[in-house]
Amino acid sequence: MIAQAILDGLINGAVIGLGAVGVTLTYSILRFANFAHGELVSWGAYFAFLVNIALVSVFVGLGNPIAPFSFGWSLPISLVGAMLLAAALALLVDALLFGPLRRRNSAVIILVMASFGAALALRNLLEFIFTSAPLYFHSSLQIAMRFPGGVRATPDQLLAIGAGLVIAIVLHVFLTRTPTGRAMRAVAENPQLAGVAGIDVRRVIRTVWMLGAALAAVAGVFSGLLVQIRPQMGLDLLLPLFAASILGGIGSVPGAMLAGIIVGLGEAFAVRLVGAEWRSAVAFVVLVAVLLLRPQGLFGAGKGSRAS
Amino acid sequence: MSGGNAVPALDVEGLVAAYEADLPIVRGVDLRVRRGELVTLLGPNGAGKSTLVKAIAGTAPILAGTVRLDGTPIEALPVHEKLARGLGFVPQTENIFASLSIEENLELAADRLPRNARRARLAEVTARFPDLAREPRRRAGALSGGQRQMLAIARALIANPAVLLLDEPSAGLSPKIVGEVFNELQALNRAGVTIVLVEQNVRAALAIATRALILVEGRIAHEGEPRALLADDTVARLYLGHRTEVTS
Repeated sequence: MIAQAILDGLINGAVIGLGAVGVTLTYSILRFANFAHGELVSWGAYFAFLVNIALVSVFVGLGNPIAPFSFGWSLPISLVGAMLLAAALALLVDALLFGPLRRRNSAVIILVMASFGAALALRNLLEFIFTSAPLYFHSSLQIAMRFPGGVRATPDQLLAIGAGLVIAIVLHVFLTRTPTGRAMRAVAENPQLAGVAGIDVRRVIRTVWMLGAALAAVAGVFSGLLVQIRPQMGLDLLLPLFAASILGGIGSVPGAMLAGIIVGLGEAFAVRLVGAEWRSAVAFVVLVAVLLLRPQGLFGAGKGSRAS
Repeated sequence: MSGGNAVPALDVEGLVAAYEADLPIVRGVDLRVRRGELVTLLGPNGAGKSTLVKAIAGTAPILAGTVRLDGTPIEALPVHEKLARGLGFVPQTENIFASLSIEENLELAADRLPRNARRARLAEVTARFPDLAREPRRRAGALSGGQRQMLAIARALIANPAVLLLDEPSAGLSPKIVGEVFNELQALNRAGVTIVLVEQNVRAALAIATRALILVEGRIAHEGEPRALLADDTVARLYLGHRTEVTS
């Protein structure tokens, strides 16, 4: 039972971690809590759904499942398409909403309220286009694999854990070993000095939007693959995403991933020990506890913020 | 203002800078810096010295006036492009990335150079600052005040600027470290880097400057060679605080 709860937590945590990495990057560089990030998760899932439908309708063979997974090659291709489309959506929202506010040196609270507005608009638009009826990437029932100790997991679920870990490692290497990653960390610490050091801060901001949205799309696709696609899916993930990004320490990619897994484990154990209705309370408890006891999070640098 | 027939390295005309439109801090400054000069900007607190160099560098708003680098107007360019055109700037505070290592601070600047020139330029600059070369992976936030200034100067030098602006590099440093920083600035100037230095440490600044300007209430009130300014009793008493002996 404990082993199953751990595995469930890891699966859930991988999706939360992926979304939280996007939240932590945008928070550390754009310097405001973007409450519309959850909608990028939802839009990412719907984008993938649309691309998947289009691909399968043209190339029927792409829909045939790749054993042992439930999906065919159309889904990985759709994922790439969804990442690009979500990045484009994030850039559009920035160009129309956040960019003009930044240029006016608007207060953080204005940006946060604008992100609330953007979240509502994006969520309602999804509901208007697709209705609130759930959608699925596939209609087949996947049989769970059995592991020692009576633990069960589907190949799709194990893939989510693996993908989460690989993406977190790749992203950490990108931030610490590449010129663009260094520039992002510099802008996170001091945007004005970054400009003086020759970094095009506007370009870095665009990169962060694209990266954060692409990661949100990955989280959305895995969430849709493991559960279902709904306009509310991003909203449901929002609190765990923020709890994980704050617990991990704003700006820390490994921190966000690890904290995502901690929140996921907390939720899984809450379901087992006190009931499924308490699941969403876990993220809230984690959020409040971190803010009270260790506001800089597990890997936070204390004052200021950084990305690594 | 001073100048020769050749195009000045830095030419500032009628510069007005302010953080609030109706409260100008720099009020119509003309400044012409020839290649190879080490010009120091002195003056009482609140005179607008720091705002002037920040406006030239692009980190303080310019309301009017022009800034030309080697004859090319740069006042409307984004901050990062000014560095690419040859204008380096070392701010007074928060002038390094504390969460990055020494190596990363320098690589950050080198990333803007052509790929094949990066290694050589990094080696060239770190050779000037042996303290920085000793522990390249050390977190910059763990450095002493003097080492931080050296790192900030080294970072600015990586881009091989034609003109280097420094805003009070001696602030918060012990007299011994101030001496080291200023010796380095003088060596850089002798190596051909044109320097504009804002300073409160009058004695140290005048000892290395080739020309000095005194800014009062956002305008240049006096200008001349360090010895000539010091020989002027009124200037020395009112703006330099006391008579200062120039040693070089």
